[in-house]
Amino acid sequence: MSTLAVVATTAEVLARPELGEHLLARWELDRLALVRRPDRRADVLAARLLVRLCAARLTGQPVAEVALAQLCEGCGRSGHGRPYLPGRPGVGISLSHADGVVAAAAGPGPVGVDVEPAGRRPPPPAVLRRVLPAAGAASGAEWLRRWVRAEAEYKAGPGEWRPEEWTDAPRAAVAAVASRGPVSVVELGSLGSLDSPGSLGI
Amino acid sequence: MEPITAWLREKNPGLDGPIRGDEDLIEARLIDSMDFLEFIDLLEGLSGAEIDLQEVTIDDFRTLDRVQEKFLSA
Repeated sequence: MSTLAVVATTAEVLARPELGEHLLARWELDRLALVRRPDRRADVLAARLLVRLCAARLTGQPVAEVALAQLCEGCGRSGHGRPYLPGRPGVGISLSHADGVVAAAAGPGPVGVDVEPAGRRPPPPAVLRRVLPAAGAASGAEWLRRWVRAEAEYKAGPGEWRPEEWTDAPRAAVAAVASRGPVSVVELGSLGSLDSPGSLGI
Repeated sequence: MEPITAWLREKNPGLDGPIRGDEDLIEARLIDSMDFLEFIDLLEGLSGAEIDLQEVTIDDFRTLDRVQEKFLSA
C-alpha cells in the first residue's frame, strides 16, 4: 500500500464543484474564520479539502464522510497539531499550504507533507543556519528542497525518515513527503469525487 | 512594537484593520513557518540579543503582547 501525495494549486482544488466549506467541521470553520487574509483562508480551506480527497481515496470512504481531527502533542489539546482520522489509527494524513499551492498526503502509517512555492525568497542565512544547518549550508535553490524535506519529516513525527522530494514544475512548487513506505505522487484529477470514492480501501 | 507591526503589514499587504496585541498571529496566518526565521532575525535586531532557539516555544511568538513581554521588555 503506497502513501498518496498530491500537489495542486488552491484554485484547482476550489474549482472542484463537489468541494467546499460544507465539508468542514464546525471547529475547522471557526479556525478558518480567524484567518485574516482571504488568500491564505483559501489556501487553508483548499488544503483541508485536498487531504479529505486523499483520505477518501485511500480508505474508500466518500469524501463527505471523512472527518478530521487534530491533536497537539505539545499541549495535549485538540483542534491544532498533527491531523488524524478518528477511528482509523492505521491511517496517517498530512497537509500543507503556502501562497496559492497546497499539498496533502494519506498513507498506511505516519506521514508528513510540505510544499512551498519554488520562488520562495530565502530567509536570513544566519537564522536559517541555526534553525536548519543542512539548509543553511546549501547553495542556490537547494536550501528550499532541504527545508521542505525537514518540514515533512517534522510533520511525520519522531523517527528515521527518507523523505521523497520533487518539483512540481507546472505549479512552480517544491514538495516533499515522509512516510514509511513507497509514495505515489498523483494528480488531483485522479482522486475521484464524492460520487466515486476511493478503491484502495484500507 | 511599530517595527514589528510594520513588518507584519509588509508581509501581509492589503491587511484590513489593526493587529491587536492579543491577536493570535499564527491562527490569523499573518506569519507562516518560514516567516518565523525572518521574524526571529527582526526581533534579534530590535533587542540586540540572540534568541536561544532551544529555550523558546511557538507560543512565545503567538501574539504581539507576548513578543513584547518575552523579547522586548528588557
